[in-house]
Parts: sequence; C-alpha cells; structure tokens
Amino acid sequence: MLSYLLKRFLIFIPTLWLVSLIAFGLSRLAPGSPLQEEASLDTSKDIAFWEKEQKNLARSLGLDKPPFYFSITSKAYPADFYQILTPYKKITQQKLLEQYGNWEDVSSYYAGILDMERLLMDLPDSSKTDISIKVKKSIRSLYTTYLDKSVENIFGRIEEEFQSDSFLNALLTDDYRNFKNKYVALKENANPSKLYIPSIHWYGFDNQYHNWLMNFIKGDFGISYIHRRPVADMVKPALSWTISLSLVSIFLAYIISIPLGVYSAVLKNSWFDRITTFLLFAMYSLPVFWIATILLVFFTTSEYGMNWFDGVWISQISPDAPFMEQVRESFNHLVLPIICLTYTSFAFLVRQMRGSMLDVKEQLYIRTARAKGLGEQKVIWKHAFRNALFPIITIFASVLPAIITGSVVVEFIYQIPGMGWRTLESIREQDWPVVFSILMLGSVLTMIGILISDILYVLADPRVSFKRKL
Amino acid sequence: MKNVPLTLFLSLVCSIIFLFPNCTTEDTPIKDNTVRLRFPAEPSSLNPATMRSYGVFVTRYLFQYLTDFDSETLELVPNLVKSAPIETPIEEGEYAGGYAFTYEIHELADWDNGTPVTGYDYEFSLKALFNPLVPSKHFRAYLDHIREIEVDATNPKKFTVYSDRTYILAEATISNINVFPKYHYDPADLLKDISFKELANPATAEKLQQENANIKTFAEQFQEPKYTREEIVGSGPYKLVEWIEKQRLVMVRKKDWWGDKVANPNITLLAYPDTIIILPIKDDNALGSAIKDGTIDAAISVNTTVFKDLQQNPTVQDQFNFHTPEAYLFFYICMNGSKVEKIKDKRVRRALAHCLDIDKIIEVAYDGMGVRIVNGLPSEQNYANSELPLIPFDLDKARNLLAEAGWSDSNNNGIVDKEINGELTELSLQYYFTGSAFSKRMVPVFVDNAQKAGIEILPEEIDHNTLVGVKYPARDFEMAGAASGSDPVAFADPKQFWHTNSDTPSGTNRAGFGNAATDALIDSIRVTLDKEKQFEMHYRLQEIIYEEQPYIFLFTPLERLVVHKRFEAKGSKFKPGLHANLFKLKIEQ
Amino acid sequence: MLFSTKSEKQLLKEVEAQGLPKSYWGLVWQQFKLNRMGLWSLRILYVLIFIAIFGDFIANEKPIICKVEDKWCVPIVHKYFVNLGWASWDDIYVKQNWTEYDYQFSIHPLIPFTASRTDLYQSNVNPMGRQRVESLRWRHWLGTDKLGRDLLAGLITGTRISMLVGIVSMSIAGFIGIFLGSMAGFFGDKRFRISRSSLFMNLIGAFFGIFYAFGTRSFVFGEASKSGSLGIELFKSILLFGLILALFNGLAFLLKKITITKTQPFAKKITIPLDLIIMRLIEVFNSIPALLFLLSIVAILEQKSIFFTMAIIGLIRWTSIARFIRAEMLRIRDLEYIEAARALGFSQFQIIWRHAIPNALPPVLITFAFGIAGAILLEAALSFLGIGVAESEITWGKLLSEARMDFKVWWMAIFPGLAIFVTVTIFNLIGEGLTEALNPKLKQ
Repeated sequence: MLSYLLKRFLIFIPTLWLVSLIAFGLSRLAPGSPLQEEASLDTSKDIAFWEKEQKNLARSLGLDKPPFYFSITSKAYPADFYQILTPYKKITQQKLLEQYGNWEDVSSYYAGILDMERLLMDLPDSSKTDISIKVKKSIRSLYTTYLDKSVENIFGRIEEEFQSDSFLNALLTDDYRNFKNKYVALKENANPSKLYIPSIHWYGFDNQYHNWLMNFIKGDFGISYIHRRPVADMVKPALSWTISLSLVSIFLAYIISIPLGVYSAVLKNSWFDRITTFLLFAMYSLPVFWIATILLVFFTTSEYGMNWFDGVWISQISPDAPFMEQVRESFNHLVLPIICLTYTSFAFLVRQMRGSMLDVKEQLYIRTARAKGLGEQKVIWKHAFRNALFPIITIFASVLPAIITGSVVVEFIYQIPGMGWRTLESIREQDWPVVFSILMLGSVLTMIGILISDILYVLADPRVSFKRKL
Repeated sequence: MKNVPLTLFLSLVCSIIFLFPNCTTEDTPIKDNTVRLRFPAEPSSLNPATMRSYGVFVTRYLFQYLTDFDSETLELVPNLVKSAPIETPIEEGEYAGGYAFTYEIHELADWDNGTPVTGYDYEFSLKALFNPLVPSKHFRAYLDHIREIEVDATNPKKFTVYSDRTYILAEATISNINVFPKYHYDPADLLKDISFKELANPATAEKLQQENANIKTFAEQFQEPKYTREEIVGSGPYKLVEWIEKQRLVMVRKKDWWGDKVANPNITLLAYPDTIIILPIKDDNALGSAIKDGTIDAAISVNTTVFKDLQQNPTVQDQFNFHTPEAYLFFYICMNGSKVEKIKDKRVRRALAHCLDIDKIIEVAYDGMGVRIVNGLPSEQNYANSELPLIPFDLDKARNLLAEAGWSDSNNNGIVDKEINGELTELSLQYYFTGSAFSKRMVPVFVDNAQKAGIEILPEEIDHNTLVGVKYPARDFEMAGAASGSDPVAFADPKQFWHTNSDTPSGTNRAGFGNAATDALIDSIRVTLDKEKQFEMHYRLQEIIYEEQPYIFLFTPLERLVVHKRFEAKGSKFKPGLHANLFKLKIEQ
Repeated sequence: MLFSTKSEKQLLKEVEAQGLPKSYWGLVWQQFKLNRMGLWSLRILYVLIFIAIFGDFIANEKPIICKVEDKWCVPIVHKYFVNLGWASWDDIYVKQNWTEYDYQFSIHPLIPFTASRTDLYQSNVNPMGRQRVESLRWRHWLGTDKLGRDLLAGLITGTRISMLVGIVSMSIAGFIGIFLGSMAGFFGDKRFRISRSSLFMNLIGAFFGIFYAFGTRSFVFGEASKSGSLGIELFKSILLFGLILALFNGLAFLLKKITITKTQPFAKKITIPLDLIIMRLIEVFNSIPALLFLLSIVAILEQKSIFFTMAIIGLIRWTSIARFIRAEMLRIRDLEYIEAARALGFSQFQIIWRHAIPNALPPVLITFAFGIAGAILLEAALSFLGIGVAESEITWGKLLSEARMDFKVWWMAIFPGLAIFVTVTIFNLIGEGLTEALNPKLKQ
C-alpha cells in the first residue's frame, strides 16, 4: 500500500510539471501587460519618468527576469530581448529585427524615435507651430511602423513638412539627419542571414518560471497583478467554498442515488423503473447552466409568484449569530446551487448503480443465495448491494472533476465566491497569476480525486491488489 | 427496518423540505441607525496612498482631505484645515512663476491615539505618495507641480506647499490627498532623513532609490496587508472594524471624533449613521431582490433595468427614495481621425455622428437613463459652452456630407467608396467595444443605423486591457467605444484630453486631435486664473472640438441611487453619488 | 432500453421478416432500429441538420425568390455568391431593409426575420401576450430580446453553429484520438522499434523543421494574416517542414549504412515505450479541469471566434477516444487475421491502417456520439459565460445568457435552453442506441 502510494505520487510529479509548463506558457502568450501605462496629465516632461516607473513595477513583480531557463531564437535576437515589456514596442522592434537581422541598428533607430519625440516636445513655445505638431505626430507613428514602404512614406512626409517651415528646419535639421541616418544604417547593415542561425541562450535558474514554480510548491502563489496582494489570500477562501459545496453535493448525490439505483434495478421494468430511468436520462442531458438560470429566474423573484429562495449569494449573517441560524441562512441561499450541482452527477450515479446492481443480480452467488431460501430483501441488501457498491465508489474520480466544472457555471450564476467565480473574475480582469494558480490547483484536486478512487477501488475489491493496479 | 436505505432517503428528502426556508420572509422593518450600502464591487485595498476605484470612495469615510468638495454646491470647503489656504504668487527663486499655499490644520483635529494632526503628517503622506516604489502613480501624475513643503517651526499645524507653476488645478490637487498618521504608517520613522524636495525631483528620487535602503523597506512595509486591509487609521469619522472579503466591510462611527467638537461644522464634517456596512454585490438581479427584501438600505450604480423595475414596484416605492442625478461620466465613440485615412475628413466624422439615433440608444440600451451631450463637460459648470447644439440623427444629412466628401457607391454593393491613394476604398470601419451590457446593446443599433447611410461598421468585441494596453498605445484602431469619468475639477483642465502632448502612446488624446492653435489655447487656459478670460478660451476650444468632431459624444448617464426612506438623504452628482455619512435618521412620529 | 414496450416485439418480427442482413453494418443498423428512442433521435437529428443547412431559407427577412421592377431575383442565394465574391448586388437591391420593397411577386421564408436584425420598436416582445404586429405572419412566435431581435430566428441560426461545434470539434478530437490511441494500442510498450539514427535524426529534423518552417517565418505569418493569405503561408510552412524532415530521414538512412568495426552502431534498434508515453499524456490531459483550461485558453485569444473554440474543444477532448481505440487495438492486435497479415509481410502501418483501425472503429462511434453532445454542451456553457464568441455570432448559449440580465423575459430562459437540451439529448440517445446495437449483450 505504501509503496503504491509512493509510486502514485511519483507519477504526480511529471504530470504536474507538464501542467505547470502549460499554465506558464499560456501566461506568456496572454495579451496585454500587467504594466499598463497610465495616462499622465503632463506627458511632455516625463516620458523617461514613466519608463522608470514601469521598470520599478516590473521589478517588484519579478517581470524583469528572463521568463524561462533558456530561450531558442535566431542569432539575431539579443539575450536580453525579454526586457522590453511594453507590448507595442516589443512587437515593432521584433518585426524590424525579423526584416533586417541587426539588433544594434534596430535598437539605436528605435531609441532615436524617442529622442526625436522628446526634442519636438521640448521645443520652445514660440516654435510650436502646426508644422511641428504634424512632424511630432508623424514621428510618433514610427513607433508602430515597421514596413519599409510605410516608414519611407512617413519620412517623406516629415521632409515635406520641414521644407515648409524653415525655422523648424534650421532648428532640427541635424538631429533629424542623424535620426534618418540611423534608419539608413539599419537598412544598409541588414544581415538577414543571422536570422537563420538558431541560437540557445541559457539564463540559469533565476528566471520567472523557476521562481514561480518553486514558490508555488512552497504555497506562495505569487502576487495578483490587479489587486497587488498575495494570490494565496484570494484563492484560499474561494477554494474552501468550492470544496465544501462539492463535498455536500457529492454526498447528497450518493445518498440519493444509491437507494434509487438499487430499487430501479430490483423493480426492473416496473413503472417505477421506467419513469425513473426516463427522468434521470433527461436530467443527465439537462445543461446545468440552463437549470441554474431557470431556477434563478423563476424561484427567486416575485415576478412569477414563486419567490421561494434567496437568489444570489449575499452574506448578511453576522458571525456571532447562533450556529443553527447561520446554517439556516446559508441554506436559504445555497439550496438552489446545491440542487444544480447535485442533479447532474446524481443522474449519472443512479444509472451506474442500476447497471451494476443488475450485473450483480445475475451472478451465480446471488442465485445460490436465493436458492438457499433467503428473503428477497436480505438477498438484495446483504449480498447484491455490497457487491454492486464497488463500481459506484470508483466513479468518484469522474464525479469530482464534473462537479468542479459544474461549479464554475453555478458559482457564476449564483455569485458564490468560489473557485469558478474567482476564475471568471480573474479572466475578466486578466489577472493571470490567479488564473494559473487556480488551473494548477484544479489539476491537483483532480489528481487527488483520481488517486482516492483508485485506492477505494482496491480497498473495495480485494481481488485487485495494489501491485496489479500499477 | 427492512428498507433502511429507502427510509434514509425519505427522511433526507423530508429534512430538505423541512429545512426549506421560511418561504415568505416577513418584513421586519429595520429602524436602526445603520446604513447597509451596496457597492458594485469591493475595494481591493484601503491603503490611503495606493487605493483605486471603490477604495477611493470607502476611504472617504476613514480619512480626510485638507479641503473637500461640498457634495451639494460642488465647491471646495475646509475639511481638515481651518479655512481655505492663503495663496501667494512666488516671484523669485527656484519656483518663480509658481504659487505658495499656506494651510493651517484645525486645532481640534487629532488622530485616534489623541495626538494632533500636524503639517508633518501631511508632509509624510506626500512623501509616501512620492516614494518611487509605492504604486501610486495614478495620484502622483496630478501632483508633479508640488516641489516643497515647509512646516511652520513654531506652529506644527501650519505649513506651506510650494508649487512651481501657475496651474488652475493647483489648489484642488494639493488639497485632495488623504492625510494619514505618521506614527501608524511609519512607526520606525524610515522616511525621516529623506526630504520631500528630493523625492519630488525625479532625478534625485532616482538617486535616492538606489542609495537609500529605507525607501525600499518603507515601500514594502507600506504595502503589507496590515496597512492595506487590516489596520486602517485616519482622522475621518469612521473606523474600519471588520472586512470579510467579498462579503462585507463594516465601519463604525468613532465615539469621540474631533469633528463633533467643531462648532458650526460644514457639510464635510457631518456624519450621522452609527455604522456603515459596505456590501459588495456585483449581480444586479441579486441587488434587486435584496432591495425588495429590505436587506439593504442604499445602493449606488444600480443597473438601469433593475432600477426601472424597482421604481415600478409598489412595496419598494413605499420604502425607498430614488435619486437620479447626472453622473460625472460620459459615453463616446473615439475615432482615430489622425491616423486612419478613411476618417481623416471631418465631414465623414460628422456624417457618422449624424448616423446615430442616440435618443433611441438611450431608450433601448440604457433604459432611458441618460442625457444627451454635446461634449463631455458637466453642463452645470460655467466653463461648459451651453450654446453648441446637439448633433441630430439625420441620415439624409449624413449621406449629403459623405457625398460632399467624395464618397459614393460606385460598385453598387451598398457601401460608399472612394479612391484613396489610387485604391478604391470602401467606407467600412472597424469598431472596438468592450464587453459591458450597454456597449453590447448599442452595437447592433450603430451597425444598423450606419448601414442605412451606406457605412459599414465591423464591430469587434475586445478585452478592456487589450484595448487600453495594446491597441490604444499603438493607435491600432479605427473606432472604439469608450467612457470617461472624472470630477468637476479635472474636467476644467482640457490638457489631458485634447493637447497634442497627450497624444503619446500612453496619453489619452487618442483621436490625435489638435494643432498649434488649440495647444496654445489649452496652455493658456491652464494658467489663466481670471475666470472670465478662462471661460472665454474654454468656449473657443469647445467650438473647435465641435467643428472637428474627434469623438462622437453619446450621452451622460444618470446615476441610479436608491435610499431607504427612514433616512433623509440627497443624491449628489459628486461621486459616488451617495454620501452615506450624511444619511440622517428621520425621527419617528 | 428506455421504454421496452410491446411494439419492440413487433419490430423484432419485422426485422426478422426482412431476413438476416448481409454486412456487419447492416446488422448494426438492424440492432439500432430496435431502439425506438435512438431511432426517433436520429430522425430529429435529420431535421436539425436540415435546419442547420437551410436555416437561411427558413428564417430570413429577404425573400427566397422575388420580382421587383420586372426583374427576378433570388436574394438569399445571391447573397452567397456575393459573399464568395462571384457576384455583386444590382443597383436595385442595395436597399438595406428588405421589407421596404414593393414586390410584384415574392416567396418569403417561413419566418420573415433575420436573426441579427434589430427592431427597437419590438423590444422584449412576450410570445404569449398581444403583439403589435400587422398580421400573424409578422408575429414573433417565441418573442424577441431587448433589441427586438426575433428569438425563433436566433434559434434557427444558432442550430448551424451548434451542429458545427459538435462535428468540427469531434473530428479534430477523433483524428488525434484515433492516431495516438491506435499507436499506443498497436505497438504497446515493446513493439515500437526504431533505429538510433532515425530517432535522433527525426528529433533534430523536427527541431530544424520547426525553426525554419515556423520560427523564422513568423514575420511572413504576421503579414499574411493581415492580407488574408495565412492559409497559403501555413501550407507552405507545413510543406517546408515535411521537406526538412524528409531530408533528415534521408540522412538517417545513410547513417545506418556506416559500418564501424563490422557493426553498424547507428542502425541498432531501440525500443520506445509508446504506450507508456501516450498514456501519460492522456493522464496529463485528464488531470486538467477541462472547463478551467478552456476558459484560460479562450480568454487569451486576441480574436474571438467560435472556430477557435471548436478547435480547442477538439484538442482537449481526444483522450476518451484514444483510450477506447487503444483498448480495442490491444484486443485486435493479437487476433488471427492480424497475425496472418503480419506473416504475409505487410508493413506495420499497412496493418494498422488497412486492417486494425477499420475494425476498431465501430466502438469509437459511440464515444463520438457522446462526445458531440459534450462538445455542444461545453460550447453552450462558454457562450453562456460570454467567453470566446464574437459579438456577431448568434449561439444558443448566448441567447440563454440574456435571461440572466433580465428576469422578466422568461422566454429567453426557456427556449434557448430547450434547444440545447433537445440536441444534447438526441446525441446521448443515439450514443445509447449505438452502444446497444454494437454490444447486444449489454442489453438487459
């Protein structure tokens, strides 16, 4: 048993590692950046100031580190390319690099745009003319332009504008020529062959993935981008909600489905069996979000005269209230969600129970028992039932993920602050550290579910040993 | 017991039925002096220097400003200080051309531990805000004109703030900062040796950040849960006693608050309810039933549909008052006119504006809870030009304008087209919108209306962060639905919206509006303290904006407030619209 | 199974009267017909498929055929041609509102509304109440939503998407599942042997293939996706990838021939435990909570489209098919005729493709039917949550989600949900029927 458990846990590790890679990979692909640039009142003087703020923020979130242990790129890329964090800057420079392959020139040209912009912004008030503003706009559009034709177009336009303003021309002509030369150099020194040489950069262990994973194992899930507080603090209460709701509904599902399954098997082909089978089949196909919506729409408002339950979760209970009061109050809120979470798995379980009971009923030993003259009830409950119970226990593994999935929707509809709700909320806010922590935790939970059901399977059926199972 | 499981099953079913809630919740009228106030979301932090969105509203009950807005007159009145500051222009020295503001904190003002509120606390609050490692740049951005603070050596309650330029918003921005106690937020006095002057200068601040370890230690400590969620200490009338995440936030009236001792207190020093409980309820239907059940006393930002529904409900009518002041918020469609060739011509932009049946949009997509606007400025403010007419829904005019601008349907596909740079271009425009219910509902109307004038609108839903973080900075959009909100003061400075210097990737002049003339106009508005001249220039600027049509201004929504009738309360235009501290319990007859 | 009634015996008789069918599939079909629910489900499915294909001709504001100003026109068909770029509208048809014409003659679809057409004067029309419409013909039989869009027309348009979701995503899942499952089952842990040179050369080839065919071409992809020629570029890349791989395989072939001290070190074969690897992969996929995973992937896509959702559902739903086919393969690979084929000298892949897979397929049909039901349900849940659908796409889940915003519109809560329920049920019933037809033993 111990060695079996150990082996199972050893298998967990590569699986979790793969999941962590997937989760981290996704977080890298996510659009947008946690370092949203914010509007400033007076942008003219502090472009550099904002850049610095961004860097500080990146550092505090650990985003200034390389993302992974290594990177595989073409030789044209510099090792520290990851340090460009602003999405549009990254994209434009990447596109330029992919055309010309010479990083030095790309970065010096791109820095040149910033210098030009700053020059234009710092112009004395007297020379701020319509022309200078047009030039400024043109220069700014270079930030996101990478196709040669468009860039040349913009340069052409800028030159035309310079022509029409001799004062501006005199003031900036050298700077502009310098800047344009950088672009010319970029094109002249193009070295696209570099793009075809693969190169591997090794960054070592101080990288974002490694830090994230190590902290995750330690129980520190990182800091939320949006709320700037530990993810663990946000996920913990959510997790306890989801787990307790799931356990209650699994318990209910089992406790209702077992007798129902047994009876419909015993009374096979009776009206009882047929109706339950039909109803359960229908239930099985009922989308949980539909039922949840219908229950919410019809039974929580006075609109249709059936205001029987409280709708969406709002906590009003004071923690000092007597225990029964609290139970009663939460019950009022949670009846509908629990019904929704229970009925799907419940339909599935009854069908399984009925099937396995029918299987067992045909077994030889049941016939023997009956032949011995035992009462029907005794045959059913003492012999058949016990044996029919094994398979249904093992189904636990498939019920748990289903309930977790179901809870996403149900929590969303009833606004229960559980994992599913938290996930949707975080996805909406693009709070990736939270989303991926939940993804990892969800996987861990599912794996534990599978493990428990494997163990139960062995415990319930002595014929299967741990050794053979592996 | 032959049928054990069946009995078990039946008893369980019975117990569930038995446990079924008392189906009709009897209405026990609550008469206490507690306000259960609904917010659509809970604040993520209550740190006085880094909080955002709903945190700003909640901290209003816990902290105080130097001077604050009177929620009725919308004018600045003393809050923590004795009287309005003394302004003196600085004529020479480092800050020549700027102003000095001298404040004196009220002599009764004290913290929870009995020590007086002093100028040093204000200085400390500013230092915390300007700590480069404290994520408070959303406040810092407005404060970069402050250079130095000088606390009077003889009277620590008296201090002078030096601003290095003439700026119409200088007083308001200096005054509207949460003042928080040094003894609580910096017990080790980490920032003692660092002067505000050094922090206010980006160059020296950079140097400090590298050299002085205390900057980092303070920033880290300042952002710990203790200071963001657990122990919030301010001079406001309320004290945070409980905060259960996503459930409730309880604030209790301080017993011997200094404001109570002030004779003839102004409106910002009033606080009636004993307890204010903030309930974050996101779901609008839940809110609707909570109001019907009487489990909450007041709510802000009620969903329009739910609000209409509640207004028609007789029981709710009996128990609640409804307020609908205009909000400091407006919806508009941003057009990237300076970059997208198709809409560079202002006639095309005007044609698009004529295509929108805004009245119908307000009625259908916003349940009629909106007021049409010419531009985003609050109509009651003097600087808003009231003579500009609304742009009517007029498809013929739109067609004529398009024809004038050279657009015609030459290939008979129902969409007008024109030759641009030698290529036949269809007037088909991409329209980004984010996922709110309103913007979703507006899209089909926009598409339908524009189609009738021969313009094709291609709507694309986009995530807010992608729009703001990727598309706007790169100016990679044609049109986008947007909303903007502010307070009466910030609207008075048009720089952020319309100056070409704000047309940077991170700037908010996203339409690329502006030329030298408008820039000059904006620059002089910012430094003209003479109201009449300033308004003149405001009007001129607004006329130009009206002509140029960089945005299509849609409407200003009405704020939807619900307050229980046992309280005397007024809805205010000032955010968040409800000032729960002013809810006065009516005396039962 | 559900209702075993007398008529089942009758059916049995009928079947017997027809005589024994000749083929395997004939037998399966005969068994399937015994299941009345399954049979009826199949019939409903035909109807749904009909609606999915011809939805435009059932609910549309455009007439099917009409005569205006002495010209005949078939606007709906014409629209297809216009969309394909084969035709353009004649100048008399450029009016955008098709109800404004004076038709000399016209045949209109059954429901004279287009799903996306808003009518602000018909907002939230109650299907049961009085409607302010000209005649019964213009009645909104299932009501309208807040913007006055006809719900019935929406449901009809949504049918196509639901069917597509089921079929496309399960085709992807089926392709991956069958490939990996049959590899795992047929080769097991011991039978997949490959020479050292092939293995290493293939690994290196794959690296360079990805690098040159995809990595270095990312700029081209970016430009192509703007001009709409992404498909062609992708095809070129795949071709390039194949070429590079082939090149390295050629090298591997040469390497094998190298003889060092009388042995051929590179030709030595090593065993790859395919079964183990693929089973681990399945385990990984099974451990990830599907909906959470789907939500996070769909959320990071910049462009929202139902087709991405379909593809992703396919990519995570292949495991059950793979497991099924693996189990079948384990059984089949030791059967006599496979042994015989092996003895006859057929190559491994020939045996798999020509002999093993066709025999393992029937049970997969069952998972396929259940899988479609699951995929439709998953997509509906996603669009209900408002994730991964573009605004212009009308799906059942999205229609249903409107009920959450306004409790008064009960019809938005009932009908879209019913549509999802019926579709999911019939696929489940067909799956059930197939199970019984393929394993008559199971039938109690």
